Amino acid sequence: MAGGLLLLAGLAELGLLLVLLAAFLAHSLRVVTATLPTGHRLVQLRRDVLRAAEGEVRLASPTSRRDSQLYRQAFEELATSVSGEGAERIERLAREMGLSDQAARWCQSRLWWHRLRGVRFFDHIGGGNDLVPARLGDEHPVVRAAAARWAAHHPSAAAAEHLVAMLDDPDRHCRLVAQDGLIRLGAVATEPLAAYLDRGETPGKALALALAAATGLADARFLWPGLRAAGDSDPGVRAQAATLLAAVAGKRAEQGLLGLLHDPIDPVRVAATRGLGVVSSWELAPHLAGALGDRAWEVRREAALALRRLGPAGRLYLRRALTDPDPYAADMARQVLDLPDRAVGSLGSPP
Amino acid sequence: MTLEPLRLFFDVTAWAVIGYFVVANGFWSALLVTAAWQMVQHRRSSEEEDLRWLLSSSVLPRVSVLVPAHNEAATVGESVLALLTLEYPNLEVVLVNDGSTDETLDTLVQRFELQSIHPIYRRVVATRPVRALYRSRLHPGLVVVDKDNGGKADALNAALNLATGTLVCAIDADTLIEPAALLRIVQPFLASDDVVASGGTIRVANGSLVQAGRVVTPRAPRRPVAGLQAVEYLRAFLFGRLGWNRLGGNLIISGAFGLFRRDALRAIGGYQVESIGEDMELVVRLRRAGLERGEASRVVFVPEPVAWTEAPESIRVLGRQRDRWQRGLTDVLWRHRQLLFNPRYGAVGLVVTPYFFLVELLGPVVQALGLVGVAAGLALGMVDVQIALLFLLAVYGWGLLFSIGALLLDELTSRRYEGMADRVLLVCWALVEPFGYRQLSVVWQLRGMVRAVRGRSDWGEMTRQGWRGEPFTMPEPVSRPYPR
Repeated sequence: MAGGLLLLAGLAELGLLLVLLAAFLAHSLRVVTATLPTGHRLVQLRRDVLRAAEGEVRLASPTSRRDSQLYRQAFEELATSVSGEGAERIERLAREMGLSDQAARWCQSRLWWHRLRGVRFFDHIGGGNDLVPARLGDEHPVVRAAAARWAAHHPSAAAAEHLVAMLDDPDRHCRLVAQDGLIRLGAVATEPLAAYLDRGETPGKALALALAAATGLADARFLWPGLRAAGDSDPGVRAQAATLLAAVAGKRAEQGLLGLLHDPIDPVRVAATRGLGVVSSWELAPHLAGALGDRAWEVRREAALALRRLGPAGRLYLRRALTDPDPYAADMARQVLDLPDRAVGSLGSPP
Repeated sequence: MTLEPLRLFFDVTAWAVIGYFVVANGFWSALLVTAAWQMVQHRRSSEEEDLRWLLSSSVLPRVSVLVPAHNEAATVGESVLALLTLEYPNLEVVLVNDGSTDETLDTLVQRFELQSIHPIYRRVVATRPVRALYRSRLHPGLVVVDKDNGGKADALNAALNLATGTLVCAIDADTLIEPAALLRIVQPFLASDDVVASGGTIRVANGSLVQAGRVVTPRAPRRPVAGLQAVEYLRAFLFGRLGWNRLGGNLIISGAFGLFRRDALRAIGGYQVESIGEDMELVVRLRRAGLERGEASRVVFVPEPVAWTEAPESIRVLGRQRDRWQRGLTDVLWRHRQLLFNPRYGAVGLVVTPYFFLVELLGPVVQALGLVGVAAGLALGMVDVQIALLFLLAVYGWGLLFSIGALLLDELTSRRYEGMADRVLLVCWALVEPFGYRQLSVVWQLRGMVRAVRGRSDWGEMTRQGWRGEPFTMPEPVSRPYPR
């Protein structure tokens, strides 16, 4: 009985080992034998695609599945290296070769990785205007994110609307891609984003992302949403609002930032102080000098750096702070002015 | 008649050892299956992915690469240059000259035109005294900290104090990172808010062609000691660590290449200088602190970002390294023994830590017991030959399956080697690994455990061949426009 079991176990292990070994070697062999010819074929194909795009030759249709994969690779590599008319020609050629039709079929596949492949093809080559927007609501987050990247390359109010809506996506990666996409879209994204922020019913995380995207766009239209967000109950939103106000700038924005200097949460005050440093107005120097005595080290540091950036007016306040009765303010001023310890006497160091 | 109790003892011991390995192998099998599933998903989602959009993205977090360097004058220039040219849009390199007695600092000053700076920074983590700080005029993203010697953990802590990135990447000075590795290792942080650390695959670079701090032609190691380790590394990373992503999360991120949330590291006080397994200890403490405070604590392994390291080529040096690793494991599990079987820590307390205790720590003891017991039993005629064969099948046959499984996973996904010869060589190393090498490893690990109990905490002398013998020429342009 034991002998039989042992034999069975031994044979099972040996069988499994042989199967794994055979799979490994067969796959390796296939890869190795395919790599060299594939490399040559790819180089040739790239050349042919370029000549065909110029109208010099007619490109032969792919003859096998592997061939079509190579065509796709060659087209994608070239399309991502050119822009303007050249990119349009390559896109047209891909349509003529039937590659776009194949990608369109993938976009409607039941398998998420096929849909992903289809969306990525259109993202690299161009086209897909009637198919890819539908994938922005795909059930799989990787496909949604790929579609959002496509949208970022197709500036339109509709694309911006889609990306704004994606700021609420349950998947964090999708939200980040949407934020990135809105910044890339530029001016066309301002209106939908401002409208989204004006609604005032955005949840905390999405609001912070929307404010971050607005910071990237830095348009005056975001002033009021920024000021409203400065009063939000979420500290993350308030900190982001401070960054936005600094990007928008102007008297109202400065007032908003000064208000945030008294926020009870450290990171919010840090963002506000840094924001005042970005605005860099000499009129703000007294407020920044006051922040040198803040209880948070980061706030004191940002205030001191902001004062140094202000030039002579800021340096004046820093020098005054050297004799400040608050040792923390004096120590930070000393560090920013790059003075040795003895220059300000035995003030001690903050813990 | 009097031999019967002894025979019974041998039989019981042999069956207990076999039972132990069936359970342990069951665990590894579960890891392999989970890893294979994740590999398939990873491959599907990264197919035809173009990472170039990330290079021009303004939403990527800043990454500070922390590099401890001690007497690295011969290679530090090229290593730093390779780091500065990594493909990442928002990058800072903080190199710490940890009391080198050679020309490491002079080399850096001359090559990168370092100038003294006086930044306002906070010493969040206590370190040995910092002598001076420098920034490169040629590459403003390079900051050099010159400090008294305090060891790797102390150097990393000094770099952590200076780092301005939201994320910090801890590496060894001799780690060779693939150009797009940072773009890949950062992905878990982009995908989830609760990630505190991510790690990538470390591969053995011995035998590969290295130029300008990059592996330009990967090759399987030709020498046995390095070759056996190459298989071991693939097995450990590709299914050992990948599998844990779904079974409770990792407890180890390699000290050679790992990405961490800077604030989380600072909040726990950085690296433990007195711990011998400082990289594992850090991850365990990070996870533990996160779970205790109800904050982010997920540690994710990503198979695709690859860093290359030089494995020891001499048995003696390898023995010292394994001895130290086992001492580190013992030390970490002792420091964090409260985690063990503690439901408060969820899967970490009930699955991950018990696995490391029962399988990784006690495995060598049981294996040694089985080997000695079976050999003695056979010699005395107390153990049935069939039981001895079953032991070999459970311990070494199954192990071989895991090695070949790991090679297959590698082949199906990252596939770094170009030729058939390298692949066949790896299979050969995998086939011979159970005979001799595994038993030697058990001896080293047991020695490490004994030394840990005795309280020995030195690193032992580690000598490396280095990459300096390789000629410096600019790498050939890659035929593919960008890694896919």
